[in-house]
Amino acid sequence: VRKTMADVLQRVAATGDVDAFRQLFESYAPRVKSYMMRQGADANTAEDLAQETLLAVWRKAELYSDDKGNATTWIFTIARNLRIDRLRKELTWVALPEHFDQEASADAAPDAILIGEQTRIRVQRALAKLPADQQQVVMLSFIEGLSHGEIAEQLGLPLGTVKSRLRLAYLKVRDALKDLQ
Amino acid sequence: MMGPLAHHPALESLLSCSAGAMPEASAAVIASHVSLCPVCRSELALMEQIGVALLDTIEADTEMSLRPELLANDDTRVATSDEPPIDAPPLGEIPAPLAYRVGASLDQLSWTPVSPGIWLHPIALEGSKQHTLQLYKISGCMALPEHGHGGAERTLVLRGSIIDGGATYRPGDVTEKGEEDVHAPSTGAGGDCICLVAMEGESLFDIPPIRASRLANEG
Repeated sequence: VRKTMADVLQRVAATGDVDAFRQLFESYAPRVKSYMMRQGADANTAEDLAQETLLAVWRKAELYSDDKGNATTWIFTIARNLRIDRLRKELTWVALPEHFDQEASADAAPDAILIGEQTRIRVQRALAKLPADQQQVVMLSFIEGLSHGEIAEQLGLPLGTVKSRLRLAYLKVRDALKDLQ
Repeated sequence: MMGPLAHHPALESLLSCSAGAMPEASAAVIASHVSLCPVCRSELALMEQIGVALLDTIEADTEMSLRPELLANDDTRVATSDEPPIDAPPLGEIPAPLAYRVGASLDQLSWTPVSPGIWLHPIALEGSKQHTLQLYKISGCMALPEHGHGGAERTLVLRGSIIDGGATYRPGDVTEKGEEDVHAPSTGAGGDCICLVAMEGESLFDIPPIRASRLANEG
């Protein structure tokens, strides 16, 4: 499925293939909608934001290529920033990946992050293997969008415990990718 | 271009930023550091893959179709070279994310005096009022009174230096303090120190100016 999705985006990029884009849309828009609803958006708002996320990918598809990351990274980071901007009504500070807005790459050297098929599989495996308490804080952070303090409050844990679980979870994911970097 | 930085945000702080879960004042400090730090940029890019993986596994119980009118009416799909360039701020002492809010020069900011040797420049936030984001200008060689925190305090040095707990923080470096921390930082020699400070909850610098000044004198 992944490989197909990469192909789909390549087709979107190369030829502005609307059918290919429709395929990408049908795979990801419902997930982005769920992601928005987890932050408290109603169904209509969530659907609007999902449409907007995918449309942003469509508009920038020319910039897509395998060596610059991948479409799903775009989808996640665009959705993340839209959620901060529209649902939390806060300023977004963390930039989209550098190749998305080309002006950002003028000075900074491209970061040697290889985001390929292997990375994707290993991240998913590493996450699946995490102890339940670490999986829980990662989900609350990434999917529910809760801060360290909010997670501590929700789980009735000391702040330090939340931080160390997040840190341990990330170190395991990073370790699983060690020989790819 | 500055050399490799010595003091980075904690991994769990970067993780929270990559998740889009960091309160905006703190996110400003972390994102500003990240824009100056290739090491943390790489970490962040890797962390985003966790978000990608979780988005792949999120259960989607609804079906959605592309609204045909979106693409039909969408004549905005243009090559980026056709797009008007975004006004990128000139590279200076102010990291890019911050430069979009306050301009690119530390010398052209307006400063409000807080107490002798301390000035501030508040930065407006859109969201929570419990958090504050401010630039501080503190004279060199100045010892600040010992203070605790009502919540996390994150500081990014932009000019000069801060000495805290035996470590020296220079431009680009970040120091993070939690609720449990009490510290008495001082500024280094060689002119004013300017830093970006995000605070969650109350600390020394939330105290009204007159009292802060008295504290400074007592200290």
